[in-house]
Amino acid sequence: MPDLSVRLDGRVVRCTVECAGEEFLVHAEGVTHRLCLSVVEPGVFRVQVAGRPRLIRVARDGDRWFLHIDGQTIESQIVPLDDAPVRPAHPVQDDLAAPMPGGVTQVLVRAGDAVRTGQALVIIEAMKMEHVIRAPRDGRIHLVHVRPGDQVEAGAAVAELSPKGQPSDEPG
Amino acid sequence: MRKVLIANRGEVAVRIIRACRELGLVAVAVYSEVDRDAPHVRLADEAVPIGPAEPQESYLHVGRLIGAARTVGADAVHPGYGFLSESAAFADAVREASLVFVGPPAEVIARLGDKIEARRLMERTGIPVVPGWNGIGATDRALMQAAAGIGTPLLVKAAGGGGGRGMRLVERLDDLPGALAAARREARAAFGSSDLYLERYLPDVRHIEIQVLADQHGTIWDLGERECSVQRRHQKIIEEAPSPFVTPALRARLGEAATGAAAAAGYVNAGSVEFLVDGAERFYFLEVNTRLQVEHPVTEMVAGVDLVKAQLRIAAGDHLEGTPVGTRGHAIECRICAEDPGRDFAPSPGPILALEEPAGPGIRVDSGVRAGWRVPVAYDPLLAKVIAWDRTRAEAIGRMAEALRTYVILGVRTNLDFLQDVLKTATFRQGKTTTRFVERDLAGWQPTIQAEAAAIAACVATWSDGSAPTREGGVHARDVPSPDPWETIGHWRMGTRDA
Repeated sequence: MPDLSVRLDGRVVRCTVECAGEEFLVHAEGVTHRLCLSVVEPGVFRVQVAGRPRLIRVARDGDRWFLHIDGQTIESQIVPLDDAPVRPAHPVQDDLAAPMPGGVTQVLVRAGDAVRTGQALVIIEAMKMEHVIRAPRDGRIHLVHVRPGDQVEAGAAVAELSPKGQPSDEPG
Repeated sequence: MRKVLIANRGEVAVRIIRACRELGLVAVAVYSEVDRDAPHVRLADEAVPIGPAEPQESYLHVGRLIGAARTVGADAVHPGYGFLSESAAFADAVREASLVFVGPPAEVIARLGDKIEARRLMERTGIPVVPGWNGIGATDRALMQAAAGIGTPLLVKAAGGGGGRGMRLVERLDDLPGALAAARREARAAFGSSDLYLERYLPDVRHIEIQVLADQHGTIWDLGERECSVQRRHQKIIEEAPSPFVTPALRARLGEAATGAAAAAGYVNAGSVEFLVDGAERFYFLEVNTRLQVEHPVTEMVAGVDLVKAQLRIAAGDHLEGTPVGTRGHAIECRICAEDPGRDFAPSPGPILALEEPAGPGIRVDSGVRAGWRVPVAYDPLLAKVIAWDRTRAEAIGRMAEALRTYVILGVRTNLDFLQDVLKTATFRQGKTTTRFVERDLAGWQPTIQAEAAAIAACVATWSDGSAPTREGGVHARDVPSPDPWETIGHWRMGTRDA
């Protein structure tokens, strides 16, 4: 009975999946969904939920899963809970991770700097657009992982922020 | 003309290659290192490498493009849109190399590219321009005197302008000196010229552009208007023809002004004359785009003209024959971009793991990507365009909605869900969009995810991992497409996410 957590656009849903004869039972957020699943061809599944059949498309890139269901494209991250029970979906605070792959154009802070909520930390450029990674809260920069000119993947940590109130966050 | 080098990439390069081949011309693609397996390279008769991914070293490198054209013995160059398409220097370099530039003469590009000169030309021709002031080489003092006469709100704009750079909205005259300094800095950096002019700010206007075709013998056609008001970050995402707002009388006046503007500028080839139109049907000349537009297909669908073939024929010296037949039905285009609308449209380059394009009556897809290819980080996020045609606007919206619903792109985030929601809004359905529609009606948009999506995702993942009991012969990882390792080899650092 695999336990896993499904991360959908920032929302994390814990699921337990069990096989019951022809059906799968997925327990999630207090609701039990009955699903029938079969493979039509690679990347195409037939899914029946609540008696309604539909074809879905699926592709996978590492722990990122892409599903096309009823005209909607959904990206989900699957984290098996029995393998890594305490590991969060992202190794660092989301907002200090590169939101997209790209090139680092500017690093505006150094390790040890005190920063305020909203302060620009690192600037990444991709597809002719700049993206500013800002401090999600007041705190102190613990580590900076990138330099200008670096290429980063989506989700890569660019810096680490020590929470406010830690010993390193003394004023002055 | 026998062999055409296409100095571009992506869907527009694919579009131009098709037109060349239909006319019996040999099509030559160019490509940067990251584009060596791109669809435009595979489709072309020949392909020439022109340098690394950085645009300045490849698609913006005049010397390498001319060198490539010489190497393959091309006799013409089509610039597409973006990159060097509106560079008078590039058009001139092509001509100096004894090649045909598929576009207007360099002098015309330069004349219309200087927004101050273009405004003055239109004023002399009797075409209304946005009220303002356009002295040549104006000092800050002269601009401040003129601003007092125009009143606020007003826009400070750059002569070399475009894309919102060097532009400032001024609400109070006290803010003008600061705005002038900032605009000059930005304009100098972006265009190499810090010349500025002033325009009265017109709120709640529509952007309407008229497509024109002009041959080398003085014939100019007006092919009707396009409505381009649905924009995000000052870039268009949905365009249509005809405009739901333009009446036959206004259409006739706009067409006359557009052909008048083209004639005054000595225009040759395909171009678009942009106007601002207010609620009282007053219109003002804004600028001329001296190239093929991204949204050209909506005009092609309603006017029954292949604009790219027309461009090539005009460049070869052919006459425009007959007369335009008017428009028929309604066409809508949606731009499909690799971006995440739920995160402020952040770009989303990456692998295309699965791709299924819509089809059916009245549906056209102009695409520059294929399954198994990696969308590079170095270029703009446009993947493809879907164009839907039908007899009425309402029916065209219905076709577009179904096309977007059946379009499958997995591996990168796209705006497909967002576009479907745009089509559902009352404002869009009623044809009442202005350039501020997205920020007003769709601010903070997030996808609505159905309750069972998480369950389906969990079930599929469990199944494909083999950790659940299998049935019907079992299912393995091969049932789910993953990136092909050969396609992903590049200068990318892989696996840094959990490092």
